[in-house]
Amino acid sequence: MNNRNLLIALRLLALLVIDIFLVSRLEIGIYFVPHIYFLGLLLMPVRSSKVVMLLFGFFSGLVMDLFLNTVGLHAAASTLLAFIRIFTLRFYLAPEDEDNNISPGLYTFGNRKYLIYSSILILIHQLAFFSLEVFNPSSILLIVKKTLASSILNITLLVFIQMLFMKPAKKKNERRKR
Amino acid sequence: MRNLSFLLQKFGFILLFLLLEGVALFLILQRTNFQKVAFLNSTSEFTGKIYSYYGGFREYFYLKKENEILAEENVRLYALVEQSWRNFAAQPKGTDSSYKQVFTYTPCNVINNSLSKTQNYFTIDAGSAQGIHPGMGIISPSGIAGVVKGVSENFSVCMSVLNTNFPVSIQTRKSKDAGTLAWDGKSSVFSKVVDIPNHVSIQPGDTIETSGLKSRIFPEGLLVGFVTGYTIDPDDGSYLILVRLSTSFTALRQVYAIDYKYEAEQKNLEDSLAIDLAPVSHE
Repeated sequence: MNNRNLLIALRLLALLVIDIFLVSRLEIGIYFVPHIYFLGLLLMPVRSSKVVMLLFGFFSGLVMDLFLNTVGLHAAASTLLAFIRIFTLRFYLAPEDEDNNISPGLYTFGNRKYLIYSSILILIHQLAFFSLEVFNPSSILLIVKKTLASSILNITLLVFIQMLFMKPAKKKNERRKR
Repeated sequence: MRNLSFLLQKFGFILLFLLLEGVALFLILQRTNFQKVAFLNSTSEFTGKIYSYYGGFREYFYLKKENEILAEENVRLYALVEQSWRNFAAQPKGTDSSYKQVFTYTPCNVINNSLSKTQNYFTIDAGSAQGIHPGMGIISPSGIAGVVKGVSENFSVCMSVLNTNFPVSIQTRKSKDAGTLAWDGKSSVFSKVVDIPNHVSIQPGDTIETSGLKSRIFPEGLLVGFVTGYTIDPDDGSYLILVRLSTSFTALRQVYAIDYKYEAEQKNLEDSLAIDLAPVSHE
């Protein structure tokens, strides 16, 4: 169990480093802002305590802020993501998922369930981020455009990362159950 | 008491959430004055160190482009030195307060940069130890780049021209009509110029330069960009000019920090008379 916690913390750290030095440098355009660090938050085990979840959200955002000069923006958005995740999981969690304390990813959750789960959280994260960043009610169209474009990009990015780097462990068994 | 502890156990995370969001929002509200967020200055030393390693590694990929930019700059500078003008008697060589250096330049490197935010900042590898202080202008070899906002011992954080709060007054090179550069957050290549009245003649291709009048950040005549198109604002009949920025922000590496030597003197005089000569201030 301890080993797993360490692994989760290391995974989040690795995602932060890759995000800061590689992904956030990919300047694809003004509307498409790629980030991957919230994958670490999405993949937190479902039974991890709410307090730990919130603290992880806040501090991963704060680290992003310190390196990207976005004072407080990432911290606010990813704390919100962590908070909303607590409630989103209530809808999506089957009893056996909770018993196994799974990490809600593409392979453990199933494609459709995971896509809805990640879309909700990433959309909320990006909406909060860009609203606070632009912070101007008259540029609401800009906020909406940035939110939609970046969310679609990031949801796709996270799916690709999981397809590339995570093994579909025990996938067959789970399918049979459904 | 037991009820209270039960409540805390059940809903404590909501309190924690509100607390953390409060901290984050507090930071966001402070972002316009970097100098006040104390922990940012202490950590910029730490993140700066990391970024200078990273920048040192990344620099190799840009050596060729960097050389080209510096060579172009040399061409322009050669055109300015005295020898270049010896045969042209018509060229005026300054008048009253000339031959006193008013602006000094410190070379430095950009080690961290962003383009796609609404408020973009970049970090340079020179700080208070190298004589950098908030309010200094930053120029690239091909045009203006930003203004220093926060300083630690060896690093500084600068507000980029690609920032909706960036303050600079500009003029057209031909007719010297003053306007304001106002980035709209939509493209890292283009910016907008407002406040030029529509009786002025503007053509696509015209050069926009710094005016050096209202703000004491840049000297007069530094390149800002070129007019690519315009519309006329129906409200007040002034131009809304689309400008292609001359600085390539995707390849921002070698820059210079500009120090205006008489800034304190000028500011003191203006403040003592309480006149508003600087509506576009850099604070």
